[in-house]
Amino acid sequence: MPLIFDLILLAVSIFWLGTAVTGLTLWRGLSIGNGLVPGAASGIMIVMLLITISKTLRAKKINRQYFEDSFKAINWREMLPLLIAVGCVAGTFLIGMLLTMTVMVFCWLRFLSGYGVRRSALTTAGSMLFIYGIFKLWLQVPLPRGLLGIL
Amino acid sequence: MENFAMLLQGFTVSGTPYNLLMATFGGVMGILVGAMPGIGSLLGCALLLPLTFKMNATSAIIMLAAIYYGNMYGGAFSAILLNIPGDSPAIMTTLDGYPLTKKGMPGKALFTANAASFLGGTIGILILTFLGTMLADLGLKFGPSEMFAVMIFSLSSISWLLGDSPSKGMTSAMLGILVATIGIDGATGMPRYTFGSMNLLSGVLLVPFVIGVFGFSQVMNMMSDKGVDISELSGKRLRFRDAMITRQEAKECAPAIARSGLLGTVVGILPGSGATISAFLCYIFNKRVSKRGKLYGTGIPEGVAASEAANNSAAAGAFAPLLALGIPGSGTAAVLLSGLMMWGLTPGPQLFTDEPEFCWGLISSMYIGNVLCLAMAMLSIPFLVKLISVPAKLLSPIVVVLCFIGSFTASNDMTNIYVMIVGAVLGYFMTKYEYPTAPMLLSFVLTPTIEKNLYRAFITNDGSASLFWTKPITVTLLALTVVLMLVPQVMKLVKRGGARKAG
Repeated sequence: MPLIFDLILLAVSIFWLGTAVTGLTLWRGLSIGNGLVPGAASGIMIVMLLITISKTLRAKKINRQYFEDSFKAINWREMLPLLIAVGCVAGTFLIGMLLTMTVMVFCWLRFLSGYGVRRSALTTAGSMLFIYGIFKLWLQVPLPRGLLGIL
Repeated sequence: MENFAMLLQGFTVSGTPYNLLMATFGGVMGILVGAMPGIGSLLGCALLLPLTFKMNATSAIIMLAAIYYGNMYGGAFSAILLNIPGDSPAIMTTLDGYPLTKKGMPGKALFTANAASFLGGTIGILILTFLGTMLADLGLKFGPSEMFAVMIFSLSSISWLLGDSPSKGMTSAMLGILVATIGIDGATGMPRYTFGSMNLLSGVLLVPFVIGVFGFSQVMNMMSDKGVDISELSGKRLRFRDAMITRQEAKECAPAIARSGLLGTVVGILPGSGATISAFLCYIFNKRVSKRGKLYGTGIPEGVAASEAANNSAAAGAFAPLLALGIPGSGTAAVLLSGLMMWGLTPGPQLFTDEPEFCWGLISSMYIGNVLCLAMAMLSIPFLVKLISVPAKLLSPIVVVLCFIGSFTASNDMTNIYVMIVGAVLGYFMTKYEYPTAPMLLSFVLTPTIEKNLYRAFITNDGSASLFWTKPITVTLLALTVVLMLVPQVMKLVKRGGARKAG
């Protein structure tokens, strides 16, 4: 898996360098262009990543087993917050941020943390009232209200 | 001596009950706003500026200044307890603050942060009192090429943060530059790497990115049984007594606070630098010169002290160019400048002679406000420490809410939420595969200033590179950068040679 992460970073840096050289300018009139800094940084990054990748390749045998072991090593439970975050983004567009967060906190406490309905509801209500008071009432942050326009 | 007499006179202004009330109110608001992820001093001052419409100028600036430095106190709270910096100047506080919390010493981390904030702030205010106008004049000598050299000097300190694998550390630093180049280029005004998205034109904001890299990735780690879990502290009785640092720790922190206080104030005075860059630079500088430099980042009070003293002293330093020259050194100082104009004052060299009551009232109020902030921050420790004894499974969803709302609040834009999620993925995998995150954040913070100043430096010098060897301050700073980068390598070679001879 570290190798895959390195390769993704390498692809990103190659894209950055390519864009800097072909799509942006390195020098413009009397001064630097907008491609010089990203071009130089991505160039250095490519060299550094190649060093890291070559070290990995020398240290471990890269075969099918390596990738299978890499995927087995991932703790998929740790990815759960990411899924929840994506769900919250979708929920924000539908029912607004405050309501989505309220539902998320309740569901998390009830189903992931295993608290009872009463305790989950009370904790959710308390924490969300605090958030509502600070961000909405006091600071008047225009939190997204979603398609339904609630809160 | 004249300044001292004026300062005493200033105390008669700031010591009135109404002004004391304003300083207390500003301090409380600043601490609260600072502790809320994503809001920060800039937004805090901007939000509360309308409250000052009906106040007299002195009371108004006393309140806003208290918000500004109170914010520096509050920013450390969530950085230490939740690994989410309340504001960007507190980013470096997370590096040692949160590990201290994981070791079961949140109170100690908070105590150190508050004490260092107070002492750093006091050093800054003392320098502002006696040398402020002189230093502000010196700051004016820093043009684009000098500022570029200062930033390169700061960036070169990345070499001290690289960790065990220099190639991974350098990759992390370069990644920070890549992320910082997204959006409209501040120098040429041309968009780049926006992937056709209008929302990315304003670039990637530091606060949501940092919330993702540190805060949300932390929640991901908390899900694992093997991962970092502060739930071990659940149910433990954490008392204020346990928060006190030992005499030995105080001795270790003192030099770091002094260094950060002095250097932080100078960085705060420089235009365009501010408390964030000051905290980064001072932390790295202390890591370099301290005997316990290798322990920085593992959770030592000295690391917290280095960062917190720096951001508070920089906040005080930022007032020197603002009052003496009318030049705002940071975004928050720009809001304060607009306030000065709104109240009918003209900041600049004449302000100290035309409005001595206002200037010295403000400076003296900073001494009082700093003491008030310290008292409030210390009193809040027992309550804050209780927060950490909340089980992780109860805390995690609330941290997610703070990550979401904190990121959104940074500019009231959903793009910040996406940035936060991308930052979380990046932070999670970087930590997992032993890429240090600090170099990425340092280069991310410095890149826009470096690029802008390099662009301006060439423009003002008709495209000639001679500015790098004809301007004395630039040459000195660049030479210092080279020396500092070479010294560790030379020392290594000398050590190796010595070992060979001994062998």
